[in-house]
Amino acid sequence: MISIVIPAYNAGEFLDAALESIQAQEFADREVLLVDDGSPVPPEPPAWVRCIRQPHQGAPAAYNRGIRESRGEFLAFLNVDDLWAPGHLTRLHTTLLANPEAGIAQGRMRQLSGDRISGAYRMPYIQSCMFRRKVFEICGGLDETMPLGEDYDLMYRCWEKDILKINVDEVSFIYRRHASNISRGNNQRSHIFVMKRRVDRIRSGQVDPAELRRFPFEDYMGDPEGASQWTLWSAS
Amino acid sequence: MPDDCYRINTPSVVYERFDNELVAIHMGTGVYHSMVGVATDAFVLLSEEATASELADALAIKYAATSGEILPQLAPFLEQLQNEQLIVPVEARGSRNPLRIPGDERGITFVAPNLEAFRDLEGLLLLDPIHEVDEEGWPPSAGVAKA
Repeated sequence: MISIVIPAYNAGEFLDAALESIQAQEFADREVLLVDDGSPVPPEPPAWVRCIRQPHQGAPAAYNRGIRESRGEFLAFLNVDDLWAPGHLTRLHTTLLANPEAGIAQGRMRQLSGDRISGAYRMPYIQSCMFRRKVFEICGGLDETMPLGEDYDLMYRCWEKDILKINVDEVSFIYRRHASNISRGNNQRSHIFVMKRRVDRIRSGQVDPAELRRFPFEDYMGDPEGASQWTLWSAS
Repeated sequence: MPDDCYRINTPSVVYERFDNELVAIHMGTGVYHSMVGVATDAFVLLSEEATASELADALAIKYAATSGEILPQLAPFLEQLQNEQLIVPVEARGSRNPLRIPGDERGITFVAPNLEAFRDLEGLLLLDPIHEVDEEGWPPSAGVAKA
């Protein structure tokens, strides 16, 4: 089973589209958990979505609640304002089954901005990935002390733990740019938090920066090629 | 020592103050810089333009050292900051109010400020130019073509 975790705070106008992109996935053995992180007006998802409510604690805590409450061997994540490409779950699930030693499969992503869509590229967005549950047992969950950058931090820790990630060429994930993105204008600050966590791990002896890692960092974390090409979006 | 005036090299440099550490990153070089103690106060003061003398005067209020004792120990720190492109020299404005460190702490032991650099993190920044650079998307649109 694949467990799909959607953290939500004031889910807003894009939730229906996100859920439709899940329904369009052909993979049937799945559960969908919407973790509402204390929205003043709780969302009312359809019956096939399990809604969990918790006091407002931030996105990482909502992700972790979903991970704890889920039952699947495989985990996938989607934000309420983003979309999955058709076939995303099947492709990444097939990839993990074909590579039993792999902990993560990752597709490419695009950015959607109004009526324009970027080229395909890869960055450490967990929404473009599928994880085996054991990854969280090895690396821990999302860092609930981080106000930003928790997804990059998780991927950084996966790299430090030499978790095998298989890259898939097809696009998995559509990141929607809009006026109220949580991360909007905060990417620089986000990097500071991610890098500080890395330095903290080095200082505490959890990580030896001199130790050779199994995978090259740049290959593991992303491939920005393609992001600069934009075309008009067509949902058809 | 000539009393040159400096300020933080924004917008190339972003910084964040944590409990006992200030982290400054030059987004072009990707180098992570860590400061503690006196260095954090001096660096934050440099968010406005400041000379070494003005920094020393402000630090002497909080720390248990005179401005004259502090001034020579600031020079190597300012040189480090300049070498790492974290601060840039600027032309001093005419009249300015004295610099002030927020808070009412006094008599703290003065330890010469220092800058610690971590260079193995550069890959993240160099790989990921800023997503939210402007309204045109990231990286800047290479042109819109009809689908």
